[in-house]
Amino acid sequence: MLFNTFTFIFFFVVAVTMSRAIKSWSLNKLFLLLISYLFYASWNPPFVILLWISTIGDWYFAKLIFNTASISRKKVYLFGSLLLNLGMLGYFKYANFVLENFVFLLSSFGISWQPHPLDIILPVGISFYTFQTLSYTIDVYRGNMPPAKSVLDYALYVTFFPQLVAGPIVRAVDFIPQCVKSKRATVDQLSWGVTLFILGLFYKVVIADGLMAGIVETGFSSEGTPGFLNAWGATLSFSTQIFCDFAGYSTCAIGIALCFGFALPDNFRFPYAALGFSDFWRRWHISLSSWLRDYLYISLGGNRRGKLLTYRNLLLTMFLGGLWHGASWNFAIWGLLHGLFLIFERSVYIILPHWRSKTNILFQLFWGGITYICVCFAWVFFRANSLDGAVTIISGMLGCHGMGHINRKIAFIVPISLVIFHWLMRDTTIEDAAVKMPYWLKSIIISIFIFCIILYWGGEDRAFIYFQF
Amino acid sequence: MPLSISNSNLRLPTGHCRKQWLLVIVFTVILVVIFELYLRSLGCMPQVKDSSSLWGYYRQECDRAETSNMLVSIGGSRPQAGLNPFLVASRTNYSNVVLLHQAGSSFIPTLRDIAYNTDYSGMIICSYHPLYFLYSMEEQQALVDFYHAKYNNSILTSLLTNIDTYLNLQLSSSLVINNINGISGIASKILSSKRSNMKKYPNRFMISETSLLEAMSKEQLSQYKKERAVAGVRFIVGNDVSIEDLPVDHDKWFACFREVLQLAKIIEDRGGKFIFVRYPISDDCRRYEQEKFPKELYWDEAARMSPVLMLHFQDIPGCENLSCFDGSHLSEENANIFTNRLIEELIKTGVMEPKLKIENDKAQGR
Repeated sequence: MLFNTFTFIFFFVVAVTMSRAIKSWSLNKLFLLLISYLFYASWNPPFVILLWISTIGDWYFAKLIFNTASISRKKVYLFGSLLLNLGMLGYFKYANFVLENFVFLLSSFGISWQPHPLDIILPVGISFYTFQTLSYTIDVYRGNMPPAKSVLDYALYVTFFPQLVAGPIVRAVDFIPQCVKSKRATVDQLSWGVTLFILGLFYKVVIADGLMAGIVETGFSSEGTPGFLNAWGATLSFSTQIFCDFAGYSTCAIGIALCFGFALPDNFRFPYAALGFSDFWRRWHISLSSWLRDYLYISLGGNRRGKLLTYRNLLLTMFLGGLWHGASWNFAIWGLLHGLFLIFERSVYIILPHWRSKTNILFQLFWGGITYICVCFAWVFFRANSLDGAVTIISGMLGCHGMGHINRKIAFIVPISLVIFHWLMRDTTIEDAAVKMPYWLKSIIISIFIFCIILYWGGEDRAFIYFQF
Repeated sequence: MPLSISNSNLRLPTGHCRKQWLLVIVFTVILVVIFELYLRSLGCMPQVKDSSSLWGYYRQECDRAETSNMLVSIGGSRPQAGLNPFLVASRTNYSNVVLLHQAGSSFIPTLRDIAYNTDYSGMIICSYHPLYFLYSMEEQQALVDFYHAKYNNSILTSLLTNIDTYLNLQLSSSLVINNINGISGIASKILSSKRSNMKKYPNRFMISETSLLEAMSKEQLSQYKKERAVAGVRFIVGNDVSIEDLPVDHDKWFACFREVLQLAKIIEDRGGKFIFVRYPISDDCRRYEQEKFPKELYWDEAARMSPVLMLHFQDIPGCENLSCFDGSHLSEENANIFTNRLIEELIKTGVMEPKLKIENDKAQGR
């Protein structure tokens, strides 16, 4: 059930209405849990079993970790949790990739082996909910939180439908305490929740799918060599599409959760106005980048063991972050590129420490421009159908195939408008902007959003890009 | 309880909710009504948005228990604009006409799906295009895969997809603004104020857009048809091959044709009927086809070896010289002429029965 379908809107309205009608908080949570399973089952019902395995497994592992005093036993139980979650993730997401690379490796030694390809369907959202459950057991192991007192609260944390399939990746320490006290969304929460849902749909239906998807598909799938303008048009369009698609999903998820009285963390903060690459990752997919920082980068030693090891840790974290997105070398290269960008930025700040705090607008535009351009170069690997395809687009962007021509002006107009919007909003939030607006202006803007959504509603089935991860 | 990191709930805008949403409803209704009425005044009519979901919605028909009174038409855009399903349903015993075409693609994946994955025993009218037997075109496989993932997977998934497709169908066939290609579509309509005569019906039947050609001079139209013919071939064979140098492997062609006949045989063996139809083409399209795939060497030879009925437009009385407005697609008027002639031919050969006869038979208790 996609957010951008009639069936979801019907489901959402019925769910909110029924949830508000249920007086008992425990029954309300049970209701939310059941509709979350229904929501997940709408993709492929048998995969609900995986959710149950992950939920029950980590529920017990966390209890065992908490109840034992022995450090070695704690480690064994944590290892069990890691094995369960990463095992599931590894099998469903990476088995074919590992097999393909193993066959390739053998062939480079002259050994020919043609195994039967594994017929594995990737369960939607598995990368997101395994990271959530992993963070729970790790937090209990680290003593950051006690295990959840109620299995219902814990199961709802894993399964809560707005964030289940594509995030934001919520921490147990943030979500489970919200389950303790009875709650019902206030009129303000409902109103703002619905506003965010409409804004998210506008991002997804109008900009990502309606305006950008066609240009990106043509740009990245056309045969031949794209000229400078064609390659940049496709890449800038993709930078807009991926932001509006994913931020659209997150905004919808945050809005929907708010309608049930739950607060989910921010996932995006105008990333295309980032000054430097670490700033980019504080603004892009915040829940994943903070997860990688807290559970991977810091576990590897972070920046506490000297320059070289810090660089290694950055590269490794971003490489694995890239692979988290998908089992392909394109994603690995995308991650590695971001690792290199972060290393480059650290080196620059070591040589030129005053760059960190420069507030000159021209300098900010220069540094922000470099950041955006580098991020766009990396997007090519994220989007291209193959490594060869990525190289072709990159060479086009570097002008190796001539100037080309502008096929559709919106390939430049929309991305540039989005970047300007991010710059205007970089030090504020949507909520702050809404607070400053008179209510009638908010009404006009929301009406225009709804009108545009009606214009582009329906047509080709376009799932959110991050569902494949 | 606030989250450890920033969230929307902490910064919640408050106040004026009721007034704000009342205004939202009023403004939205005003916007929709104004644009809808304006576009209708320009002559725009609501039509459906074609999609994989809509294709799958109709593909389900082939899985019904009773399919003997069903006619499925497969192929590319030519049959989509060339066979009027309303005429077929009103004049023959085939009251349920299902259109499973997809523009610019070969019918083979769809035929394979119906042959292997259903018990379909109705009639199939398949649009012949000689290049389909030489170049692998698997685009329709994506539609087949979508169908099996969304409609033929679990009851829940199928139910939700059906409801959603049905509601999208209702929306797009009620509101012009929903199927006008978004903001740019509205802008171009307002700027050009040209009346469009394209229409896609809810059952996917398409009346071709010919309004753009009406303003062309004879020379411009001739050049346009030539370019369309070249583009049509290039679309299938790629940009690297010129039409003059198009390699045609006679043996490979017939090998593929025989494979398709095997699929047709599967359907005929369970009581179904399979017919190849060559839809009309004209001008450069016709010239190129005759040069590369002479009718005598391909169609006629294939018809001789084929156990299934094959009807070429040149052999249907009254259709020999039907003109296509762009060289390869029939206008609404010519589509009706062709459909009527085709029905008459099929009734003559005994493949179809006229509706009147069936009603008379029913009335007489036969």
